[in-house]
Amino acid sequence: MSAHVRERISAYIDRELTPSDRAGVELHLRECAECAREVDELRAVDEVARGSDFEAPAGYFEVLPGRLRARLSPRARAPVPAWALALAAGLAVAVIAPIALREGRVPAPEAHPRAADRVAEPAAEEPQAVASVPPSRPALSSEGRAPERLARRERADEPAAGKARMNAPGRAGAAGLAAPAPPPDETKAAERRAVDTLAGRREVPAQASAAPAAPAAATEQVELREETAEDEPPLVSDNAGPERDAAGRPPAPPALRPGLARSRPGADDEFRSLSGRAAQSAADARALRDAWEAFVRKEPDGPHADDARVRALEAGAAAWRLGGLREDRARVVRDGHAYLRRPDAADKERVRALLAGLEP
Amino acid sequence: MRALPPEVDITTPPARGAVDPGESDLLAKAQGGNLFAFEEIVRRYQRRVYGTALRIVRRHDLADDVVQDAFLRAYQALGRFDRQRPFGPWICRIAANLAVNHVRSPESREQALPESLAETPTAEPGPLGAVLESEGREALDRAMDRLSPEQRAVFVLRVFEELSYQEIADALAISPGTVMSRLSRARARLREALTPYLGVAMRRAGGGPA
Repeated sequence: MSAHVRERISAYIDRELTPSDRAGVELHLRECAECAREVDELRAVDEVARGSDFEAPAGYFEVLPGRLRARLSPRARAPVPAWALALAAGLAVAVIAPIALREGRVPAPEAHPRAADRVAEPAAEEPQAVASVPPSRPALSSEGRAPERLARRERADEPAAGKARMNAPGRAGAAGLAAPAPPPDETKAAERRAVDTLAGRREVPAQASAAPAAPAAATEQVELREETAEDEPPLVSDNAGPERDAAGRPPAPPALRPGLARSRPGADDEFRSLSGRAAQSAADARALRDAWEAFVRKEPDGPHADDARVRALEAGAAAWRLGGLREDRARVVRDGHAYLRRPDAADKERVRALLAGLEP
Repeated sequence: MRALPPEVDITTPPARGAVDPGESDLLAKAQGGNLFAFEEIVRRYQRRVYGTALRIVRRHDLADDVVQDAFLRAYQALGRFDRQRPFGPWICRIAANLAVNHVRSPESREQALPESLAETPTAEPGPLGAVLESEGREALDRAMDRLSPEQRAVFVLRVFEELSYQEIADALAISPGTVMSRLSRARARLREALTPYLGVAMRRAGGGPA
């Protein structure tokens, strides 16, 4: 009888042996009951392992996708390149500054640094992007430990070939992950940008059309604001605060925003405000659902309408999950199917998944 | 699998190795920066990726870190992902690589790993087969705990993801020969621990040479 083939049995059952090795093993197995039994047992090990299940804490898979989206959102720049944001800032300046100067109204002193920071942010942070090429992928949030940990791995213990493998799809991505975390203010500003990005996809081409004017306009605004007087109330009320869009763009009248999306005055702010609401109870979720539906009724063809319809469904599904009322679920199913029948529905996959996730 | 509400034409995740056209659309949207599309991709693959990570790192909090890192990395690299290739094996390879590094990291070593998942309450006593099965699962857990993270990674990628040795080697930055030897040792240790419980599984697997 030939020598035992134990060290090759694992590769044999995986069909990873060369033909000659395989033939040798098979020859041995025909005459060695011990090794043949080991083949069966190793297969059984795999079978037992495959039959084992795992458990995650209750609700983990319900929230994970949203958590990941939230981690990606704050610095999501891809759909709205930095130069487009700078353009938005420039447009704001072009509109606000002459009016402010003509009317003799100037921002209050406390508004200066913040406004200047907001406007200068894209240019200061990514001068090349503003000047030429928009960044291709969003970088990651400052939240969580991932960036530091990944940065450490980049330096130390990640195997070289593993890096090559993972980098094959995108080395730039790893660099983005390893980048230093932005300060909190920047993250907030980036969150606002991300909300714009998600909400205002249709706005991008319009903004892009006037791109070349952006960097100069942004610079001009910074200078203007630094030179303005001190005691008047701000033209751009801080009431808009965090709800104001990424470039600090005030809710200007539609006529003053040529080329931008056909959004009714205040719609952007309302969209962001609703986006920031989290339902803690079924009642909260129903109220949020109703608010989203009201939003859609006010602006059924607006740039946020599609997202708002989906968010209404999500809020409805949350109401069902939190409260367990069949009416809530029935409403989501009905409205979800209505959404799927819409010719202009942009997120059907998401709604299908949402419907599939409803408990029977 | 949950029952679907009526009228829903839901696209289920593709079989391993297959490319689903609907998924390709989702990936295209995600590559364009659509976070909702990416969120849907996460929704489809999160259990599979979590399973890969948990089986290697053996603890939920670490698995959660790995899963998030894996998806975030995947998003970062999505621009160059070939949509003609299946997403599942790709993201699982990323997760396995991160998982091994994660467990190997000093930060992780400082935290004592649990003795065994068998410390969790056992199932209610039932028929003999069920008891044996439950004991077998616990024995498997203990044996998996005793494997090195590197052994667990090759075992998970082979047995659960059905990757080839070359694919595993690429994912973990090791040679195919190392894959072969680690897998052989991992299986030998698991076999040793599971011998009393292998009968049912052997009948299920059919036995006999390949």
